Amino acid sequence: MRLFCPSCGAALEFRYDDSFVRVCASCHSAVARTDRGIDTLGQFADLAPSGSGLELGASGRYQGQPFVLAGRAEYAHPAGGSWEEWFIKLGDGRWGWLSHAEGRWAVLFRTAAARQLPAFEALAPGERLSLGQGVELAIGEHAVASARGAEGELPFLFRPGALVRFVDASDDQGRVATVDYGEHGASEGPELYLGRWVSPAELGLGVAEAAARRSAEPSRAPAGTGQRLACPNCGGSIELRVPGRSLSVACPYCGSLLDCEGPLSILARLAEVDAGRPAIPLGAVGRFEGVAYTVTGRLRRQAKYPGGVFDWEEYLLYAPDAGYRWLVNARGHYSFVTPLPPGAAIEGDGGARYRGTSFKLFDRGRAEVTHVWGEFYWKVALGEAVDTADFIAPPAMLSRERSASELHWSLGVYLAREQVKAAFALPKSLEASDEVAANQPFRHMRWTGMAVSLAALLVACVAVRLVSADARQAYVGRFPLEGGVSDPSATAATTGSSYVFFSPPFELSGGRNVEVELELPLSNNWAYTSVDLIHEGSGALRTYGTELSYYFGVESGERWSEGSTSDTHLFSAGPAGSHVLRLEVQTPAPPGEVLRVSVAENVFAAGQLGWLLLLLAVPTALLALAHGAFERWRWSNSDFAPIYLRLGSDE
Amino acid sequence: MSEPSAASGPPGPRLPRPPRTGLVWAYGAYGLAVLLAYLLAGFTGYSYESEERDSLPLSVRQAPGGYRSYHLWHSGYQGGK
Repeated sequence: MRLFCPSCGAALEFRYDDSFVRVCASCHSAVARTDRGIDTLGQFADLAPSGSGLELGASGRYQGQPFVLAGRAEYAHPAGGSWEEWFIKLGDGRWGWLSHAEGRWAVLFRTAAARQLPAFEALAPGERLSLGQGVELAIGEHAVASARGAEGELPFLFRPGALVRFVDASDDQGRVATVDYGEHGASEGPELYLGRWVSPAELGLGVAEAAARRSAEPSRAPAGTGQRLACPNCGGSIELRVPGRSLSVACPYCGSLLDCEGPLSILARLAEVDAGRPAIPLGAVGRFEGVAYTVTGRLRRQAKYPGGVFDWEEYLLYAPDAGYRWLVNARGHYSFVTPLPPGAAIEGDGGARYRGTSFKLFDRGRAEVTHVWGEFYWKVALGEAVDTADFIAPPAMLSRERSASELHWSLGVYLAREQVKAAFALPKSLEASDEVAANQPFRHMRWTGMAVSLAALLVACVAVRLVSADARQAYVGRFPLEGGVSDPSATAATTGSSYVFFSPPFELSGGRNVEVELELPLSNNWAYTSVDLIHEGSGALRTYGTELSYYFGVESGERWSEGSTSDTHLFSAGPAGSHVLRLEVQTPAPPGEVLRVSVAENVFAAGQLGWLLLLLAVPTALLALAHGAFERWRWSNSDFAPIYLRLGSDE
Repeated sequence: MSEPSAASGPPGPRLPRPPRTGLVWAYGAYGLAVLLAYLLAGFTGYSYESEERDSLPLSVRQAPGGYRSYHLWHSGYQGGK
């Protein structure tokens, strides 16, 4: 449908039958189709170039459906800055919303809510938004935005300057929702847009390829595109490294905090200028996860806990394709921090979950900004404070920050100082810390997985031996102690008789261990037995001696006993063939007792299992002790230490 | 309300796994060696229990009682409590 703009007369075209607004490319008027004809809703300001690099008319695919980028809207955030939404027209006729923020993409569709949505005023960041049918999302943002600009064709009435109340929510399954409550006092009910996060590759917009090309350029850094401005307070030269995205900047000369969303204006004059040089200078480029990030800002923050004040530094990193990241320096311990959608982590009692991993609550407090250097994507203020909570699963740490209108989750990953030094190619080593960081991993932390693997192998090995050890009985004999001769070397205290027995020949298979078991029913007596295992064919003899003794009685009304009337000995494997046992017993026991002897081969050696367990347990215990000491050290800095670590502490 | 289909999972980085250190590998190698030694001992019939070896003339079988174990013969063991 071809028309002429009512404002400027330029030709314009509604390409889609079900669109409502077409933005005039000449005068930026919003031209609406109504049942009464066409009308202008007002004029938009010039749109900023798209931060995503997309262009109107570009095509892609979503779940097999081709789509075209038909329109774009820009909203101004109440805290400053703006974000854009693309309107996609799919091949099946549907309209979709494609949003892009901080390197994350989401596709949403207008959806009828399965249940009545709560009132805007009844919601707050961090609360759960129930959409019915078991869908429940975490509210990340609850704010009012204003329609700033648009281009192309839009599927709804988009009025310049309109104030839109909205709630953004997401969950850990990748679902994302926006509830548009419209202007305050709007007669229409809230509109639900439900969708999911997508990867750029899924969309086929060529975003991934463009990002990869740009990342591959080693010299690509926003610092190179910096814009020089003069501080309105002191006249000092200020370089904006991310013009268009930075909303505030600190003057390095006078310390003034400046609003740089438009012409520079002073936000605060009292900021302190710190002459100290940071470990990583502003403008430095560091490569993390294959992406070159530039340090654009630096904050010092502190949190007050019952035990004192803890302060740390946060470097704001920026890469054009990946967006913002943080490098946190907590007293010499560094973490690379990635922002997460609010619903990606779920907070519960004493912990949080992310991607199926449990994180333990480490600390909770209120953090405030105490020093500012460089530029930031929001209008930072000294004293700006948020409620924080940190949850750890070393080397990762989930951090939650909540203000009145927003909830932010981020994932920090511990970096060794050497990694940070290498990432920025720093000439000097970074200052070391003599403390354990909240998310510092025990250096050998993966010993636990190895121990589990060894335990599984141990069970398998023992099972194999249990199955393969058939304990074949080779001989069983009984020898009454009769016809003994007195030992000529016996003393008065050891008077006894010696008995010598030979077993009949028995066959051993050879190559397997041989167990000899002796049993003599002694009663407060002893017997020393020498056992010879003789291979008849070669005359090879193997011998061992053992004492059987068994004593018992009653002392002070209590029964006691010691020793045993039986004993076993395990011979190593010998040759196959006919064997005999020679037994010589020396005992003062009265004649008539019967010595029972049994011989078995290929038996399960319980004693060897004991040695095996001991040999495995020693290094395991040493590692466990070292790990435990490390964890106690870590948790000594927390008020939320697990009870098993608190019990072991000195406090 | 239509459910968004085929959610691609949480949009965020995967959790890193620190590499195994040399000590962890050494621990694993040691444990494996101990387990293999255990299996080897089991299948070859090795026993660590002490025993003495000697060789007897065949005439011993023809002279029961004439042979006395060298435990008793040489050490003259005197047991008892």
